[in-house]
Amino acid sequence: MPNDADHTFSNLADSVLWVYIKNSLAIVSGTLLFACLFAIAPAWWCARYEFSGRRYLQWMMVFPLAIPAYISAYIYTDALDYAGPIQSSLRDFFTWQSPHDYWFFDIRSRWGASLMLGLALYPYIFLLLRNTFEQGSQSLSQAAQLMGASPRKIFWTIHLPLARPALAVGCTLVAMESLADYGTVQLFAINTLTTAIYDSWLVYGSLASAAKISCLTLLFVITLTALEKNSRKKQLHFDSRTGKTTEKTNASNTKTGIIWLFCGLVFCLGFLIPLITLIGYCTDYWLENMNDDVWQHSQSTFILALTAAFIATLLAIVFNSQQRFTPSTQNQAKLSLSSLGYAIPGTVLAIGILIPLGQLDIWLNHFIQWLGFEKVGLIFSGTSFALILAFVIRFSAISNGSIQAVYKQMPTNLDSASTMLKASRFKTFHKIHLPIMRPALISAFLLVFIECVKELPASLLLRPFDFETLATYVYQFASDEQLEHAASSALLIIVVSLLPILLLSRSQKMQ
Amino acid sequence: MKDKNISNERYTQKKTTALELLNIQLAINNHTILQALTFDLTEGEILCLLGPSGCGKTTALKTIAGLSIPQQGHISLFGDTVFSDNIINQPPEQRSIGFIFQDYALFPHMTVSQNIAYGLSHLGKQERQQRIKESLELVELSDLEQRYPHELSGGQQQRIAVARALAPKPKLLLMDEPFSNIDGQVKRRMMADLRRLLKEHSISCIFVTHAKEEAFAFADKTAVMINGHIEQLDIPAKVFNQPNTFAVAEFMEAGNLATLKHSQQVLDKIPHQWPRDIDNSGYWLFKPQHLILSHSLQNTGIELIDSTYIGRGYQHDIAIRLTKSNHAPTVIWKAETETPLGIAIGENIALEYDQQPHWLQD
Repeated sequence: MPNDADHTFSNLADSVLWVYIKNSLAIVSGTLLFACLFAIAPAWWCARYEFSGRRYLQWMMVFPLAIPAYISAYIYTDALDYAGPIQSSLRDFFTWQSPHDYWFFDIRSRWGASLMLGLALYPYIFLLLRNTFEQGSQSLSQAAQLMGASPRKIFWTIHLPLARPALAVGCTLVAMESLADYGTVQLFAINTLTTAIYDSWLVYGSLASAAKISCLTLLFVITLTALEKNSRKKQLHFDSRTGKTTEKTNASNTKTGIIWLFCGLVFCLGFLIPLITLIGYCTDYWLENMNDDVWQHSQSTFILALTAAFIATLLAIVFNSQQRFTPSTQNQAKLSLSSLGYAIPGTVLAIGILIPLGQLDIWLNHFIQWLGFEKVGLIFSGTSFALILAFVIRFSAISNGSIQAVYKQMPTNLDSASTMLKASRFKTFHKIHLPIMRPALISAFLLVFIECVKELPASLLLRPFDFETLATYVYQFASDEQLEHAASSALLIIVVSLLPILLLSRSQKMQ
Repeated sequence: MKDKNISNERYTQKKTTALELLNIQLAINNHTILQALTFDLTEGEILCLLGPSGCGKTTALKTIAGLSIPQQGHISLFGDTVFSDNIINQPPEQRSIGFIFQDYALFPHMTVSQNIAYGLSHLGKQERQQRIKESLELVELSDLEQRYPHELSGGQQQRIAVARALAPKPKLLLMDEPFSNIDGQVKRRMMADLRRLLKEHSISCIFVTHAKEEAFAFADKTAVMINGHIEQLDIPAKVFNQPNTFAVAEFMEAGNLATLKHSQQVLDKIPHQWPRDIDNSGYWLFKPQHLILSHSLQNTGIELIDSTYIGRGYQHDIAIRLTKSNHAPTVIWKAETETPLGIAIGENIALEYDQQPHWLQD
């Protein structure tokens, strides 16, 4: 087996690995380009201008986050392909005969994949930037204005440079997500590092080669995280946020028109068109969509996601409260370690889990055979256990982050006051911490749950035989060019993903 | 040196009116912030807008700078109208005003010299460098040119903010609570330095604060602002010793106040000749340092309830009973002496006042 593995990897390295790396880099940079294009101007408009409908628009701009990129990719391919409605009607109108008569944008390309990923991921940058722009100290721009700077100069010399750290954080998120993307690139038949990992294992059966490519991918991730950490450090010094929201300028009618035109276009492309198409599929293929499979898969997905969310939240509570009560570098290390998973692409993580769990299964079966019993099979690597473990590792960072944020804002004097009133640690936790962190707990649980429902690459690799999550179910149909038949499941994923956005907007409205 | 010459020229000129505010009205969401705000400032003068928080003093400053726009009124700077009833409204960047914000608003991503250069983009490169050098010399921080704001102490940041505001040579300097983030000795030294600097260069200045000590130490004139308008504008000593209104006296903690109507009993206890036949409603102001306390064996209805050391002397709280009864309601007054009283807490006290108390109309 090791020989085979070496062969697979060296074959890859000799032939196509360089192309894969180039493709990965091209898609990451293309996605960043589109995401910045879609995010920066709208974030500025929503943060600094008052115009009719701003309240709605600033949340509408986040909605595309709910649509997985591979679903948009499928829908736009369907619409923009040679046989699709757009090219067909163009041909009819101009009486073109063949593809040689005209040029048309090829969606199944690196640019197309970048556009799809950019549309799905730009809200990360939008949200971070809007927040930074909104809370930037007003006195800075007033100081610049008093020194004679024009609004344009103030934007380029003050606001944008100050938002650079936030922009860097947002871009890192987008870069990591696009590097880890499996669904879109596979659908467009673009070979990247992520698809190479997948193919090494599932097509060539070489776990070792998959592991090697995973290490290569991790190298990129580590570089990205280092860059992000560096910019966060700078943010501390450059942080001019006052916690107060800046007063907004009233936008003129022309400006309002431009804002709605641009943002409306992005919203339609990223959310409305895919959603309406899916609803259309769903009504057109009503019978195929309403079969027992859908209910069965949603049930199993929800049970899986609930379990993982429960464990991730529980772990976050345990690790964080431990660090709160007995702060030590050791406890802090545990916390940091448990947050690390988010940076690891799902495919890499899956390979990283398969290797030790597979070994564990082999040992266990040997041991049981030695005891004189029948083999028990792959209880670790071949059941939902592996999947739940992957979800918990990958998404603990989310639950950790939510609870850490609450603890950061909770004055330690509360604990001291409780201790002085002779309360035990447990009582302090139960009566003080828990009630204060309840909203954060709920949102942590929900967020992990939703991420689990949406997760695709790790699920594809780790799901037990004959087991589907909603995401893998939808993806199977999409890659078989039959998304129409799984539109209801896709809609279900979108509805579930919209939940946190709606909750977030409601809680902000109440503030 | 060059700056000194300019300032000498300025000194020889006849003092002109630097700023004139007439009847400024400003409301936000139907809530009046400034009402009939009227005052003026002569060239080279330092005026303090003093008042409790929420009295509109920062808004007044921003209105002068053009950052807030009033509904009504008239503002002129060195004879030029910059705002008039919403017909004329010169934008802030054309008013040539230096502004120092409470948080200094130093651009965190720029070095000290980039911060100062920001307002000098109209100058040539060489002239700009020269001006940056001069400004830093002015605040004695020449060696910090390449530092970032987060690498400076609070006091240094404040001085850089001063240098940045003065570099474009503004006609008027506005400062919003410039000393509130600095404490103790550093603050006193900095106020003295900055005041000298402004006086040397004859720069007109308005600054806002809620601390009367800052007004005393820094300003030529003090305007006490309450509820969006100026209650009294005068030299600091006069505002403190002879407040015009009850609100001013109370805010300045000017001394003990007694109403003629309600505290006849109190006044009766102070054997002194002053016109008591004023029948208008109003207050007598008794300064704590002019009250003379002595031990009395009789039941005077005045009792010492506490004495504390306050550095320049001693402060005493005395309770004055309003009727003969031992359970009568009391008013608490403050008195100050340079030396300890030698009277035990709870003892009876006789009260005298060594000058004419100040009468203020209600």
